[in-house]
Amino acid sequence: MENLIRFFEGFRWQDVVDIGLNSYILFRFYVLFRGTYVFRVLIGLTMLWFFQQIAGYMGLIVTSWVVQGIVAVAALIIVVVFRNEIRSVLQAKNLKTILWGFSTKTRAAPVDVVADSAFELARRNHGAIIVIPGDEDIHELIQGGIDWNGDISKEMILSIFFPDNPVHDGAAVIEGDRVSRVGAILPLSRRDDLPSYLGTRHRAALGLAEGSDALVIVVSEERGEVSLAKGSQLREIGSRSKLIQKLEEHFGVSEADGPQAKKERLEVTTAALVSLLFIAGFWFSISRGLETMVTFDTPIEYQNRDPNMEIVQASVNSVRLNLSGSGTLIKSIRPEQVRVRLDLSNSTAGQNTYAITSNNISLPPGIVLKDVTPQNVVVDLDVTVRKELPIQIDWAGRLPENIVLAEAAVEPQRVEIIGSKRVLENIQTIYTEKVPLDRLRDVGVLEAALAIQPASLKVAPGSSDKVLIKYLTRRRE
Amino acid sequence: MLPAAAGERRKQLFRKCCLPLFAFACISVCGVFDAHPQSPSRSTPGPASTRLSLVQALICEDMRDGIPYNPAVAFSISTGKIYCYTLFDQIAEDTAVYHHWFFRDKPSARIRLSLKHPRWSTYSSIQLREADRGPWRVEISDAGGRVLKTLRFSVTD
Repeated sequence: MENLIRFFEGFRWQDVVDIGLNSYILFRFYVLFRGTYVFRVLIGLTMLWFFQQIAGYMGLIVTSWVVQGIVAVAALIIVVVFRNEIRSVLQAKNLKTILWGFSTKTRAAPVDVVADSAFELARRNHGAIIVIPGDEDIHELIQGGIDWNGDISKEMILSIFFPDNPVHDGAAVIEGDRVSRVGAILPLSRRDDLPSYLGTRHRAALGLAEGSDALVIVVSEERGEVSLAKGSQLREIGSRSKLIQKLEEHFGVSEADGPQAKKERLEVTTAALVSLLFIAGFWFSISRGLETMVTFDTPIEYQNRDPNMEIVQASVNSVRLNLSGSGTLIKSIRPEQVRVRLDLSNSTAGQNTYAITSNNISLPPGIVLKDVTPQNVVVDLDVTVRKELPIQIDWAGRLPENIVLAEAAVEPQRVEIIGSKRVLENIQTIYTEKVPLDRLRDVGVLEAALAIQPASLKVAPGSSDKVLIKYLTRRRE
Repeated sequence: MLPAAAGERRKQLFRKCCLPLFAFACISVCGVFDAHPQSPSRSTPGPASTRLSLVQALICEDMRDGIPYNPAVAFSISTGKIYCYTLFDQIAEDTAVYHHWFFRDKPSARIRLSLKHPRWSTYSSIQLREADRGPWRVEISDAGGRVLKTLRFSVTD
């Protein structure tokens, strides 16, 4: 019991949100992609990932590497290969459906009209092929045809497949309550185990059913039979009611309390539970794994400094933080996630001592501060003042023996400097950068920048950080 | 450069006699001084602090017979020794001035030099060492500490 209490010790509300949010995201992925090839491949990848973890745990080095490589490449391939499926899932549904709604399969197509039409066509020995797409996009599988977009009616379907109609050999595609396309050409199945009496029409129906989740109704011209192709199966349908039942299953239509609905509710509930358990397990493995300690040297950031004050000196520039957390979290810490901030809003001129506590330190979630060294920082602040100082040329190098630098004037002669009062008190002169004597002519003008030291000092706005030097040389007496 | 140089023979004799007497005024170990009486000015006597006039001030490579040679604003370290020459007028009574030598804003030498009524030239000097390369300045101040002039120069290679 104590172990359990210790295990949940420090469990924050953010952790509950963390687990709940990610569980829901995983569950939504299931809801959106269930029944598609993407979902099956994702399950396969997850199993591969577990296999790699087990291989790594058992010390199977090469196996672990190979599986890791497959998982890494497969994650990329899945996005490329199944881009159409992913797109159709995301495009076909609005934001509310993606975030909240469940598969709202309604009785979109009048199944009784379709069933009546199919059996009427069979009675007349008129061949027909009717495609009813599922969740997957079939536009890349079918070719040709004519856009129709007409309301479904028995008469309409019978006329499409009337033998003298130019489009009667192609397939009619039913989307919702409309015939969207007629005369469409479907891919043929390459299976060689089909009975010899099945013609091209049946092979085409199976070809599309094998490559998608569409339901295809085929009416045999010779035998007057109605068949249904779904997945890799082609089944003869003996009665109108059976066809209606199959169509309703395809559309997901079922009674609210029927066995189908119960089965679906159970499936969704199980998926939600598995998502929660999976994410919770993943979360605990990351955040409650083996505790690791690490030391970080973090620079101190100063905030809310009075603009009229300046930091002259600090006892330390960085502090050493001893942090602990699970090995995974510790490894994932980036330096910018660990910050030490000191609030200087109440500081005064002179030395200010600040205690560094957890309130001054921001850490990534799941990381705990164990110790900080040093625990106090002394920050020396001073008032910022302006001071006008004379400028002096800092000559360097050497003139020829027979020449002396007789005169030199600098323009402007003074510069206004902004900086710490205490620092500026000890500065009487601002020097230029080294100005070489070697290249001077008899008389001339040079430009030189100011060498302002220390770097905390700045030239006041309105003053220039460059000067002009007018000089005159003379022959040595 | 030297405006009052009359009576050269008489001045040289005076300088030889006065030199030891002024030696105590040199505070810095490297500083030396010399002084020359100049032609009397026609100014009326008054308080020294208000009427003392600095006529000329310069840094030079050498002093020969009280005359500065090669005044400049940059000196090679090989020069060995440099001088700060000053000429005062309207000296109401005997007084003193200071040559305050600074290397990079840090005091290097403070040399007290006596002035005699009514007009007087005097100088101080420093011996240059290897570490003396850089910007220098000499503040010339009266007995009351008022800075009369600041001379700026560099010691280079």
